[in-house]
Amino acid sequence: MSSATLALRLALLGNPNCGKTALFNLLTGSRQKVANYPGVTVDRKEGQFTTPSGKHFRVLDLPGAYSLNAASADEQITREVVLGTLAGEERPDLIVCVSDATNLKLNLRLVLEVRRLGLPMVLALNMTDLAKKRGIEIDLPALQRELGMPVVETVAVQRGGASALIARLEAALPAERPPATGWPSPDIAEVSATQREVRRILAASVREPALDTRVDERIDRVVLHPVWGMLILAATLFLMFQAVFSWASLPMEWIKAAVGALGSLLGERLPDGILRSLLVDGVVAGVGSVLIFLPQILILFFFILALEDSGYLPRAAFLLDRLMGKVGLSGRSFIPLLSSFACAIPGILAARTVANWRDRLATIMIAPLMTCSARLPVYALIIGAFIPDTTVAGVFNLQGLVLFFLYVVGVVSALAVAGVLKLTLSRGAQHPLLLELPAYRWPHARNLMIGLLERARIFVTRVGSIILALMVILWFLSSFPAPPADASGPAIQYSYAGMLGRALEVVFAPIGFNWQISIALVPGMAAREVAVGALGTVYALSAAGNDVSEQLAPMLAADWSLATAYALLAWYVYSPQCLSTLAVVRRETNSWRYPLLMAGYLFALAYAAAFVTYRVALLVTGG
Amino acid sequence: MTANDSLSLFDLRIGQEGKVSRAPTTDSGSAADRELALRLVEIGFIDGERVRVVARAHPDGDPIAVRVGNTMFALRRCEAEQVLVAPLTSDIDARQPERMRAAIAAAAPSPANVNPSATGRRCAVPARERRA
Repeated sequence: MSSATLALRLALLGNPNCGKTALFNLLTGSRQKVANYPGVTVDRKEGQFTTPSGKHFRVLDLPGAYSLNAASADEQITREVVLGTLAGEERPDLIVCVSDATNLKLNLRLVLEVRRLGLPMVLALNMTDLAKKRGIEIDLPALQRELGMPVVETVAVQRGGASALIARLEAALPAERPPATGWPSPDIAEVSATQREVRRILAASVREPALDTRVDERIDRVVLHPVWGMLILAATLFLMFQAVFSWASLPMEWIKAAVGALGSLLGERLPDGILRSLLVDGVVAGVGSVLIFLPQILILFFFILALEDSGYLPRAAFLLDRLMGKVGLSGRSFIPLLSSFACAIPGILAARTVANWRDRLATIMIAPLMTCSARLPVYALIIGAFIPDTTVAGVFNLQGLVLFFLYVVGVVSALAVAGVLKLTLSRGAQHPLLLELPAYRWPHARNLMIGLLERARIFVTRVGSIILALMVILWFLSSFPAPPADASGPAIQYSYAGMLGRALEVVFAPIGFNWQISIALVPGMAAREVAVGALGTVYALSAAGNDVSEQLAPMLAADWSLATAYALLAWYVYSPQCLSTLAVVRRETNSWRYPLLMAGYLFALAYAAAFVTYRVALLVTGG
Repeated sequence: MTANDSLSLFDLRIGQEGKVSRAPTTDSGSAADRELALRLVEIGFIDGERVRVVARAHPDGDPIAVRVGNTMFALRRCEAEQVLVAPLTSDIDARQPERMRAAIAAAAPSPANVNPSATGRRCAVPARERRA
């Protein structure tokens, strides 16, 4: 095989916030694969593209790094990949250094550092549109001469914005890969010398008017203000949770109508029997009741991605640093914790940007207390069934308020747990924060779309695979054995699931859970949102009629006491049963100790909270 | 001039500009301090660089948001105290309202009371990520 037919391995490397991932998205489009580096859980994003002349590239999006002198797990991966020392990862043939053209003073130092490794390199000056708007004039030939490498301009957020880079890649024919090398970490004198060299190169090749920071600073004067900033943060989060409920209602109606129509269609067309029961009660009722929450999950992710893109998230971290410091966390923990609102797994992985091990461990341990989107279906179902859809104070949706309250309880509990951890994991001096607050940017629609599509794909795949499988198993357990001929109650009472539910009811009765809930909690171990589908299946099978598949909420409202509903909400604030989270914690901490500790403390909190809630609600409602 | 030279970055007030008079060094010799100092130099805190404090958090004005070059970083007190600066603007930014000025003056320690070399506050930087 000639080398021309082999894909060339290209690595994108650059500072955080240089638009590297946007460039990666532009180059590879949807041809991306997210996996892990061997042995570690740092995301490994690889994609492919082919140039017009047919040259094939495999592109690796390396974690953002300020320096090869790694300060975090992320930066260490970047270093090991470019040095060729990471086991199981081939050294790239070509490095594309991505630099923010509006901030070369910060970005070029890394370029000079990587240049010393002797790999073939291309420098992509990204965000050149913004640089031109600011009147920054970059003399490309001079910069190429100074750096001794090809320099191209890119605009990662524009269609065709990578054409100069692609044209350059057509021409570049990298030589043999140099062997893996060691890398002596430099001392301060060397780093300072590199910094002086950066300034000399900039003086020779870039004309830059003084940066006009007036707009950004005017915004920051408010956004970073101890009082106004906090109010804005609270309002932003509040709006986010209101939107999850109010914006999603229409698309949710559509999905609900479609699921209902499919259920009735199947119910009419199929002969009465096992197959109809499997499809209507198991698949449509179970899977449909989970799928319905896709709009809410996407709205939540839309906010998180947009806030991330705009540069606001690190500012929130700045505001919360002292507050979080009180319970032994740093502002840096804020971003992993906010991601945990979507799902604890990316949150726990994002905790690797917290350089201090103890801070990171504390962040990981409390991440599951951030209400993840998998809990949203459960909350939404119960709130929809038990909380009236009324308007409070003219503007606030009461259901949205209750949801917000549940999120707040989760956060407060997380801070309390972190405070307790602080007492046990003794720590010494203050830890560094050192967090970049990037310039404000409008979130870019294309990147938002790619991020949201990725989320939608993950959710629908989950629904189509693990949730579907669990639903079918649950349907089987709930349908067999068949009830005796002289049975009086619903069939499910005599099934395996009924027996299991009755056994578990002994444990859960003190906190107000009936046997249907107890059954639903079992498949909920694999994925929290399955509990909703499970309730859908259990109630569909225990109901007399066939038209119940889309009527779960009113059935619950009729069957459960208010105290039971509140107790289940309280349970789900802590709900320990997510096996994938525990598995990720096991991998990230490299020990069984922490996942077991996590499951234990969450179970204890969940049981205690549900117990107290149930008893208090019984007293108040006079049950 | 000599008195101003001993200000730490943490002692600058909101809107106040300064010039780095002594970049972080590794005098103390501990590995953690060395790594922090190295990172501060890497992100641009080198001799002669202009810096400006844009915002301070509550309480005690810690952490600070500081602009160095074209970038803004949030630094905790123990980090900011590694950098010594010579102030360029003697007073708070003119756009600063009077009441905020008073609030900041009350919250931030007076430069006269703080001798950065004597505070002895050090950031505990972890050993390089050991679980990666």
